[in-house]
Amino acid sequence: MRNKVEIVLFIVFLSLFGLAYIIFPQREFSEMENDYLTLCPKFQWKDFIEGDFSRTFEEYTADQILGKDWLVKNQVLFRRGLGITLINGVYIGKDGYLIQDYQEPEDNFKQNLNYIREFAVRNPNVKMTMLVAPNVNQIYPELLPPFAETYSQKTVLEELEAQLSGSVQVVDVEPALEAHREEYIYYKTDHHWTSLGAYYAYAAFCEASGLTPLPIDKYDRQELPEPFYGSLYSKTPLYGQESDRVELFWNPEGIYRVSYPVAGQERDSMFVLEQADKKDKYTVFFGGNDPLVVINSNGANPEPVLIIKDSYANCLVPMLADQYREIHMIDLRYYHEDIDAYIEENKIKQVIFIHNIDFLSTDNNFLWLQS
Amino acid sequence: MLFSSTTFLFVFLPVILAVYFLCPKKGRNLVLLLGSLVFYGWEEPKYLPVMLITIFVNYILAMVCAFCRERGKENGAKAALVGTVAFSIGTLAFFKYSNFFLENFNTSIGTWTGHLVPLLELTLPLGISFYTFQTLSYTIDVYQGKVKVQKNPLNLAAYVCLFPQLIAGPIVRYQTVERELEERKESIAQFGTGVRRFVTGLGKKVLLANTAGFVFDSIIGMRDSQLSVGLYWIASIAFTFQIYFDFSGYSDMAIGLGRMFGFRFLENFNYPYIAKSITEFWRRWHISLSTWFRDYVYIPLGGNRKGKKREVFNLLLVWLLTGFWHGAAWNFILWGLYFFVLLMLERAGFKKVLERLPGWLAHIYALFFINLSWVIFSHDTMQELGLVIKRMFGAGGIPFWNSTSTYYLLSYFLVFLIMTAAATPVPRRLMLLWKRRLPKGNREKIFLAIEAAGLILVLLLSTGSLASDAYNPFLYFRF
Repeated sequence: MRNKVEIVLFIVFLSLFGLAYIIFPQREFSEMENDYLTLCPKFQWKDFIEGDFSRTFEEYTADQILGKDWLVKNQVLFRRGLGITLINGVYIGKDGYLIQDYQEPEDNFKQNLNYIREFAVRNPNVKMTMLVAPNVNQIYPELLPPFAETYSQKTVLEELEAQLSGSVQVVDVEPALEAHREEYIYYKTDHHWTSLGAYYAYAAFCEASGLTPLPIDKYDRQELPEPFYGSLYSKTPLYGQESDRVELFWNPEGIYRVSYPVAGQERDSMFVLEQADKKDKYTVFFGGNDPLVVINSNGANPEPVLIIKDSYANCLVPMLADQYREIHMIDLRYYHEDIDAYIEENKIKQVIFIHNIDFLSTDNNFLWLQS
Repeated sequence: MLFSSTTFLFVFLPVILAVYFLCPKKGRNLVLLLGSLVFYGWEEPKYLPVMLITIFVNYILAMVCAFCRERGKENGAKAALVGTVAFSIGTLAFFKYSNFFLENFNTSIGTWTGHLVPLLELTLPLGISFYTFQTLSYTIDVYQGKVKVQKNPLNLAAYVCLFPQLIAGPIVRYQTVERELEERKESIAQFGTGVRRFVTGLGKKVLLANTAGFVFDSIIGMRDSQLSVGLYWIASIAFTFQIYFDFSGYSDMAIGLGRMFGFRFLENFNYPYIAKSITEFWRRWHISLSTWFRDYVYIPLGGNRKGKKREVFNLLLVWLLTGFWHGAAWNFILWGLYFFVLLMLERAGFKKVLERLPGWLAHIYALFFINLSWVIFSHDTMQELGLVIKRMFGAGGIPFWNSTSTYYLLSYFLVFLIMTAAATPVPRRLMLLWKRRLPKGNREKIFLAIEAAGLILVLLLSTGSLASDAYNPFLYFRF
């Protein structure tokens, strides 16, 4: 009896997952993971001999497993139940916050700063400014699980300021965010700041640059109707996780023309509302990261500005567009052309870097600044 | 293909089980052989010929050996044996150790004479250390007349390639499965035992060993600003758990799979961490390897029958080889020597002292030195090993304890507690005790319900863990 029952359970379990590969259609893209999944490879002797077929096939069976998202969710629950609070590189913090781990940057941080400084030195007639965004662990260290420690971003920022002094004017927006720490300035489930957080950074940046920020009550603030479960939730999906809300700051007086030269598209708004139905609602800003976006507006300042940025900028640049009439926005992860030439061609007078500290510490695409 | 992979669990295993049991008895060894070749070739098609040639050479030379024996030609038998040993050790040395020897030649004599030999950059054929030892045991046993020569090459190949034990042991000796190769009885009772054993092993490997491995990797990968003496000790304990659950879990899976197909492999681990001395530890750890060295190296060299000096030399050789067998690097040799020294000390009289100590103290002694041995084992460059040892004993200029240490200790406290229990026979005993207290009439039914639930839970959690490993959310939008 015991043997029979257990044998049947075992065989049914193996066959269920096995047959699922045959019965169910393959998923090409996982919304939850925001990534493409491996598909069943076609058999070729050449691939097999080199071991490529086996490797891809193993990725395929792991990626396309029946109920993957459900299994992962329960795995997180299991680990959480054991008392583990750092899962897939994300801390399960207090008050429903998921917080990305941040540790002492390695050598490529220094390398990144080198690229930026060399770039600034090569373009002496262009004003260089950098807006550095701290991450949530810096503003709210008390939200980390007890005894968990992340590396001080203040130390990193000081090193950055020292390395870039004389070539780039660094705007530290941390005090501004700190002053509003009681407000909803970072998402709980996503690694970005909220539009409100971005607004305070924008205001601080304007003050440091001698501009007048648009007062916050001049905006029409609109919340997206659907709840938002961001990238950190995708990494560490917890049952009963509090959701976020994405807010759009509309300037009723703003007029925009937004063009995407690489894709050959043009829009009249920086908010791409179709994205509000997708899982990753943060892509409502500009439709996600694009290699190059050019924004023309009725802003006051006519000098063309180049913004080199990561995704933290996506919800902040719409506000800057009310200051500058012509903004060119480049994402070095996807734009690999000569930047010096671009500056010359478009008569750029000012470059603004907008990056979060984690990105500056870990990304390796600043090498594209080299001439 | 690892047992703990979705491809093995949900594609290979159901298919081979179905084909095997649908096939009439006569063809089952062939099914196993072909299945095992697919299993092996899946990972390393390039190195399939190396294994097949090894089998072929051993098959022929064992035949020669037996043939000469029958005719009373001692020298011929001996020559065949020497040929086999030379071939096997030569193959192993070439694939596993040639780079090690070349590197050391280059850094010593090479730098001195200014003549450097280019390295061979060979990848190690999967499981070569295991199958070489298995084929060796077969031919040596034939020579010594302990087993009959296997005339059917398919049966010999099926034995060597047998996928349950092919890539990570246990080292199954031919004599263990000699009879089962010719005639074995698969049964529901055996299969059921096999299922329980396999699932236990899967859980040990995927849920325990991988978690412990994660702790070890996280700490070893930390930046200096995060590290502390305490964290290094936590890492070493994590590795101690990882290697045991990984290896014994794999052996459990192998033994369980063997059972499903009607084979009874010998036990490979017997709760090694409950040992109260290093001598006892080695009677409980990787039994198939230590008995192999005992029977095929130590005893043939004379064991303890040729005087004290010779005995010490024999032991030294066995432990050097044991260390070197684990990998072609100095730290493994050091690891073998480390055990040689400890075992000699225990033999020289320290064991008597240990026996008089309270049990828990002897236990702490054994665990401390076992744990330290895994530190030597887990860092395969001498610089790294030196640094880690220095830091573990407070001479590395890092704080003794920090907040991150407390964080890791708290986070994994329950996990470590579960692992500690799982490394002892206590859970099994508690379960049996508890079973006896169930109401008599329904005892078997209730027990079955709970055991079956546990089985499914371990399978689900393990599958979940494998799915999580393949689960890589992308932080940024992908082009």
